[in-house]
Amino acid sequence: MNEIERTQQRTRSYWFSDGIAELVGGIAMALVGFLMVASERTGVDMLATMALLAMILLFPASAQLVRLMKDRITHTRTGYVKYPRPTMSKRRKIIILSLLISVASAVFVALWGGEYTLDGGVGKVFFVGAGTGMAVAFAVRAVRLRLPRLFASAVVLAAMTTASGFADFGFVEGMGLLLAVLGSTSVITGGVTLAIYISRHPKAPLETL
Amino acid sequence: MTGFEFAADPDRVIHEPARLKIMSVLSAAESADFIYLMGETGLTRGNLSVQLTRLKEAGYIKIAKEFVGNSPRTTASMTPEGKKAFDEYRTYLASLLKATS
Repeated sequence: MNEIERTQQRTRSYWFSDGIAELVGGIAMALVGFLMVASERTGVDMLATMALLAMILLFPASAQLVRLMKDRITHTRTGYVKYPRPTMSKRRKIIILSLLISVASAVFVALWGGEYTLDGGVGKVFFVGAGTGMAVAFAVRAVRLRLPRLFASAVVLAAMTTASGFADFGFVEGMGLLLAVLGSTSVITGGVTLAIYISRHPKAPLETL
Repeated sequence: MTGFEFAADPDRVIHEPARLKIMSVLSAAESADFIYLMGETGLTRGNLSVQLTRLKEAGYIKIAKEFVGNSPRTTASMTPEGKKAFDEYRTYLASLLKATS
């Protein structure tokens, strides 16, 4: 990789340099995940409704919060970079690839899982597929952006998907557990990254016209 | 064919290291602000301003000023002409390397 490519790479991965997106997204994911697990474990309908509401409200709200925090913390310290919106064809490719991996993994587990699939029924096949798809997506992102810490999320997800496949979980509980663990991992990696970022970058003086 | 076609003059506007760095940043983003460009290039405010003006005069970048809350933000983005010139410069560098390796 030459200096031009290194500069381009740094600019592309700048979004992740402060850990804010992981921290905020992680909190939202962990909350939704814990509510899903709790609703299944306790059988309290109210918790299931709260999980659904959290899913509908928290994810859009967390995007706004990320923008706000970046404006206050990151853009004043190390500047602002606007990225081009991914084209539809690029988005479609990513979605199709993730779905293919998830379905392939689900089919593999359903056909050759043996004892692995006996508990939890069809639901398990889906959350094992979804977990594998998400783990692969994180690993691919880690390689493309050269961010080793995203591997931590990929490894934790893969390990949890495999381990929870042996337990007696249905789809909601299994997915809830995966989201809770992924969210918690993201909160830790994002929080540590943000702390390091703030300590390394004192606030820059305001720009004057 | 002399075998020295690569020796044709490179684009002098982009050839300067600071401006090449600016163009490299802008080729990977839709736009970037003054603070980010200062951090990436290591240039002082005055020098960065001069280099941005030079690129703007060549028609390779656009500069926009906006307010975020009460703070001003100056952003630069690459124009289609700038993208074309940057791609051609990279092709020039590749041919230079090929011819000399």
